[in-house]
Parts: sequence; C-alpha cells; structure tokens
Amino acid sequence: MRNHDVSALGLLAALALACDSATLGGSEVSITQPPVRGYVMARWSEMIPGVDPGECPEGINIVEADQYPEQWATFMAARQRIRAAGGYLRWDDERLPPDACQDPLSQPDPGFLTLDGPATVYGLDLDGVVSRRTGSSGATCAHDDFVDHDGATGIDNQFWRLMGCVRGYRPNDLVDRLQESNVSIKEASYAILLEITGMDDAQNDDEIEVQLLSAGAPVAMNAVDDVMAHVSITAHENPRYHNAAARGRIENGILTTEPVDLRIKVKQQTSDNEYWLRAARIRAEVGDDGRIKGVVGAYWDIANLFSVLNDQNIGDRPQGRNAANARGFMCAGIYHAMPRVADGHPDPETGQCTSISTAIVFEAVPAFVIRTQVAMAE
Amino acid sequence: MSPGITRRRLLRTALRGSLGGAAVTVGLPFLDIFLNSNGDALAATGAPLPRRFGTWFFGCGMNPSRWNPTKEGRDFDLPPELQPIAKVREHLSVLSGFSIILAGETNQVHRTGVIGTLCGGAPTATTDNPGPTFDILISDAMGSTTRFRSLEMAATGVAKDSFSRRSESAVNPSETTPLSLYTRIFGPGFTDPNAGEFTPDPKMLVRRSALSIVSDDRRNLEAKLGQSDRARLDEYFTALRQLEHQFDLQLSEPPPLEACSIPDRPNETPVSQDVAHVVANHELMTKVLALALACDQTRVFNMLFSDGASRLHSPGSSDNHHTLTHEEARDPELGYQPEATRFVMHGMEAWATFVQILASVPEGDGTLLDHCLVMAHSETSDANSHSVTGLPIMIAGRAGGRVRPGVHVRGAGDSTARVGLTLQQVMGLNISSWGSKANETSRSISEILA
Repeated sequence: MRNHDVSALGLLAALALACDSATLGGSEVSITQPPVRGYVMARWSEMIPGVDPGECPEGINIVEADQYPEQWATFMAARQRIRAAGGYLRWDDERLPPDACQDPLSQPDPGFLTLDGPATVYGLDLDGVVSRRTGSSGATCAHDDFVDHDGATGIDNQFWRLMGCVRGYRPNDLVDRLQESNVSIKEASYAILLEITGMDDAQNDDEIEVQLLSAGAPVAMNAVDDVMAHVSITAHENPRYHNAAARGRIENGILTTEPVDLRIKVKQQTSDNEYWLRAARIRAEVGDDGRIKGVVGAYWDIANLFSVLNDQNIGDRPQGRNAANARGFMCAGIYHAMPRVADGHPDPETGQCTSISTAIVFEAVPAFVIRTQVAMAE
Repeated sequence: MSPGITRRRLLRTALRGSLGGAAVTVGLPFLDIFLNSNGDALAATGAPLPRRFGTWFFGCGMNPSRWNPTKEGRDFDLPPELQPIAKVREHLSVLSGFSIILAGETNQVHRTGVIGTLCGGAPTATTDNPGPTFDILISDAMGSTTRFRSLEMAATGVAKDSFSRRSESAVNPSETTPLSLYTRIFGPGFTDPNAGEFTPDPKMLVRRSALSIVSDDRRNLEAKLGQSDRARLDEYFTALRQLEHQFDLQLSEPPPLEACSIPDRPNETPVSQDVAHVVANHELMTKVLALALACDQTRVFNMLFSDGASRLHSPGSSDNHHTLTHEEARDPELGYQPEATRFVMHGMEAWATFVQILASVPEGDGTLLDHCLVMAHSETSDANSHSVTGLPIMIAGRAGGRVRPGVHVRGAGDSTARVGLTLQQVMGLNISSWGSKANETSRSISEILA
C-alpha cells in the first residue's frame, strides 16, 4: 500500500531501499513509511521487430543523395578535397539543397513510404480498442493496430508504420545493431531511473506508484560490461525530468500502470535533447532476481520526435542530414509523413493527431535513487 | 684501431657524400662494432640500445564478438578478426575491454575514443584535448637526441590524418607518401645560401642512389669492419637500394607495351583512399620507417593506416569503410557486416605486416622490434554505435627487454589510461599515475611487463 508521505524520507529512505530499518550513526532508525524500490535502466530502446517486421512492397525510402544526385556528387567531391587539405565542409553547405533536417519546409515533400500492412510488433493497446484505418476510434485518429508476439490484438505502434520501411530501422540494420550494442545506456550522459513506491508484494499488489525520472549521471558498468546493480545514482538536478508518479498494480508478477506524461533527458554522441512521451503506460514483469523487464507504450509528440531524430550536432556543426542519410530517410519526407500516421492527441480545432504511438522495451536493475534536493533540505 | 678510421669516426652512425653541391647523409644501423660484446649496449658509452616508441592507428574498430579473445593469459585464442596476427603473435600482446570512461561527458563520435586513449581522458568539447598525446610526453622525456623528434606517417596520403598533438591546435602533420618520407629521412639536408629556393629533386636522388653518393665513405668503412658487420651492412644497403628501386619505378616512364592502350582520362580523383593503394603505401612507409629507426633518425613515431571514421574504400565502390559500418545491413547468417568487416581484416593484415617488417631487421642481440614498443589502437570498438567501450588495443615489441609480449589482458571496463600509464613507465617516464578525471589511474598493466 502506498503512503503518500514518503518524500521527506529522502536520502535515508533511498539508502535503506526496501528495508524496514536502517542503522545511521550507530542508532537504529525505525522507518514506518512504505518501501521504495529504486531501479536504473539497463536497456532502453525503441522496438525493432525481428521475426515478422512486415513487408514494404514499394521498396524502402530513398535518401537525399538519391533525390538530388548531382548536388550530392558535387558536394561529396568538394568535401573530400577540402578534408584532404585539412578543412571541413559543413553538411548545410550551399552546394547541397537547403537542409530540411534543420528546416523541414525548406524542401518540397519528396514522399515517404510507410509500412501499411500487417507485422508482429511489440507494444501496448493504448487506446483500448482494436483500431481500423476505416474510421477514427475514440480519441485517436484512424489507424490499423498490430498484433504482438503473444497474439494480443489492438497493439498501437504507429512509430513502426512510420519507420518500418526506413532502411536503417529494418532488422539487422543500423538501429537494430545500435540497440544490440546498448550504447544508448552504456555511454549516455544520463541514466533513466525508476522508483516503485508501496510495493509490499512483488507478485500481487493492488496499489503502487511508479515514477520514471532522469538521473544526473550515467550508469556504472561492471567487469562483464553489464550495468552495475545496487549502486547509488542521483536524480537529475532539473525537476523537469522528475515525472509524475503513475498509479499502478501488480497482478501475478505483471506490473501495469495508468497513463502519465514523461520527459526523459537524453544526451549522447551527437544528440542533446529530451524525449516527450505522452500518456505513457508500463507493462512489465517483476522478476525474482529483482530485475524488471517490459514495455513502455506511449504517444510520442511528433515535433519532439522530429527533433530527436534530426537535431544532431558536433559542436556548432549540424549533423542531422548526415544522420538521416545513414539511417535511410529524408527529413522533408518524414516531416510530412508524421501527421499521416499520427494517432494520438488530436488537435481540438483541426482534429489532426499530434503524437505517434510507440513502444520502448526496457530492462531495469535495482539501484539506490538519491534525491539530492530532498537530502539537502533534510 | 686502423689508421684512418678512428673509434670516434666509427661511432658516428652516418655516411656522407655530396650531390650537385648538396650534402647527402645516409644513416647507418647499429653495427656490431658499435656494440659491446653482449650486443645489448653501445660500446662507447655502455648505454643500452635505444628504445623506440610508436603508435599504429586503424579507424573504425572491429566487431567485438569476432575480435576479442575469450581466453586470458598466454594461451589466448585468436578469433576470426585476429587471425591475421597469428604469424606475429609471439611479438605482441592483445588488450581487450579497456574503455574511455565517459562519466557524463559526451562521446564525440570518432574522436573521443582516440583522444581519450592518447590523452588519458574524455574530451569535454570538440576543441578540447585533455592534454598532449602521450607520444609527445615520451618524446619530450627522450629529448632531442635524434634528427627527428618524431615521425608521423599517414598511409591515407592526407597530412592532417595525424593524432599526435601537443594541443588541439598543435598537431604534428603526417608524411603522406613513401617517397616524401624517404626524402625527408634520407634526402639531402642542403640549403642553398644564395637562392633560398633550391629543392632537391628526389628523382635525381633515387636515380643516382644515395648509396652511390656516399660510396667513398662507405668503402672506407667496410674495409675496416668484421665479417658479421659487413654482412649486416650489406643487408641494410640492399634493403635501402630495393626501396630506391621501388621509388625509381614509381617515377619512371614505363616502357612501351604493344597491348597497352590509353584509356579515357578518368575523373579527377582525390589522394587515393583505395584500400589497395593504402596497403601498398603503408608497407613501403613501414620499410622506410624501419630503416629510419635502425639508423636512429628518430625514436618516436606515429603510423596511421586509416583515419578515424575510415574513408578507405574498395576499387570502384563509392561506399567507404565508415559509411558501410552504418549503412550496410548485418548478414543474418554471418551475424556481421561482410563488406565493412573486410576493412577490419585489411587493417589487421597491415598491422601484422608492420610488426613483421620491424621484426625482420636484426639489431644487437635481437631485432629492431625487440627495442621498440608499439601500440596499435582504434577510436571505436563497434563502429556502428561509435562505442568507446572495449577498444581494440595491441602492444608489439619488447622495449629492450622491459615488456613481455604474447599475452591477452582483459581490461574489464578499466580506462585505457592504464595502457598509456604503463607504456610511459616502460619508456622511462617517472610517473606513478596518469589520466584525467574519471580516467585517472595509478594502476599499470603488470601482465605485459617482463
């Protein structure tokens, strides 16, 4: 059961984790508040279906070098010459068309191929109905749901409709390999934390609270290159990334939560951004070994998604166009495709949906979450 | 001591002559006559044969599951991507699992890995170097005892392809061709006092042969040497002349061939990153370097086989190595990217060639490689993800007996600064710790030490 007066417990509660008592300064301190269990994400990645990713009968999406071959050939030749001489030619150089990854309206819509057929895809039934493209379903825009690996219907994952025919997102390609390498966790500047409050029984508990928040530091790795469990990690200093706690329950070891909006800080390699995932729900298994594995299903705000995909920089040099080329899409194309597949949060005036259902698979290991602000206040 | 050649004269390590008014100097290797009876120290001073330090860089890493040995210690296995080093495994150690500890710093793609390894810390900005690269620290400690403080070489033919730097803006540029390297080392050091514009013609130099220019001095020396030294000198001069012949061929108009027709003029091409050219240039440069080291022209060097974000490509292909690491699909049967992996294999084969060449030069009681310490490294492990975790590192040579090769050490996530610290200590730097912030360490890698 959840006791809502837990915040003042602060550092002591974090250190004590789920224990009922702790020793501090030689004196045993009784803790009456409900247990708070902390975790840190050891894996966190966009879902790429491996077994049945679906067909792309019209082929896969083209890139800018296909759309503007002469300008790209000129640019690449100049780039090689300049690099050989010790210089650098920016990706927004005027030899190329305007950089649509910085300004998506600077190029005409080249078209974009979406995955329109069936596929076996992870995700959650976010809208509670088996949706069909033939008509709008409830609060969402018209779309076809997927079936998941267990045969569950009504899976909302329009993100895969968007990216399913992008070369870099196909099985065994760039993003799949990136996720396998797990660098988004191992080498990111910030970790992602999860706290469960009020979990008396890891198999069955009808009232818990689950909070996702960004850390202020990266994960620690152990000697076998896995995320180290049972380490202390400080929550991010910016409360913007301390998301609201979601009400949830555990039934037969399956944890589920009510919708809550999430902002997750991401800073890694060429990206310094945040995820804005709306109406996010969790479905996860609580393992006997203390790990939690599951899926975050959410609606990804399309403006934020475009930014996460394309706002890539090295210093003051934009790299979005380079990244899009490597992943296999055109920024102008994906910009115009996003509203076509968006299925969440319709604009009250236009009815146009502004978010795209998605699924993020995760695995979390136990950790001690330190909330510096609370500890300082105490 | 014979008249005419004093001990002082014998102890110099160069022959001299002149060509068109230009002084020509040809260095000599360490002949037995220069050494003590054990062949492990200079007779004149009792100082040991010089130790040399070098780095050897290859871009875009490897496939960890196909490169990292599974067994530690001396009986380590050679997974598929290490098979090319089988022929030289007794000369080198493999270090796997050493990483750049980012500790919240952003992984600057294709930069953090190499700067982190060479400078001992993760850079905080694209313009930041956590310190000089440690080859600079080693050459600083050695002082100006040789003609060249260090030599940088890029088989890619691009001068800026160099990671040796005192700061981000003070980069030691690379020699870009075997001929330019040869000319720099063995060419005339002449300066016309009147014109100030005279540039020695390398074509004329190789056709006359630097050896013929110094022939008088050479004959004087040879007459006074023992059989072993004469054989050594002959071997050395033969190798030098072979190189001169190779350069001469490159510079000569080929003889007419009946079947030969002139193809259409090709499009303008940049300095070639064709992997076949790079492999050939790398081998030639290594041969020149080996002679330069044997002649004690420098004691520090940095060889770059391919750049970070490697632009090597196969003939006729527009996809370079770097592009392939991101854009080529993994073969589901093989479990890796076959085209990109070919470049990994080229790199490992070139590294084995490099080690073989240094090991083929006799010196003192062993080989030139025995008196060298060379670190091979890359800026990524898995290039697709730009990972700086578990960077591939190999150490070749014995550093004059201070290092024991033939072992695999697993770093288990430790900082690559442990490697830099160890190698600096081996090279004589009196330091007990090295690296910055989370990468700072005082733990050397004792497993590779003799």
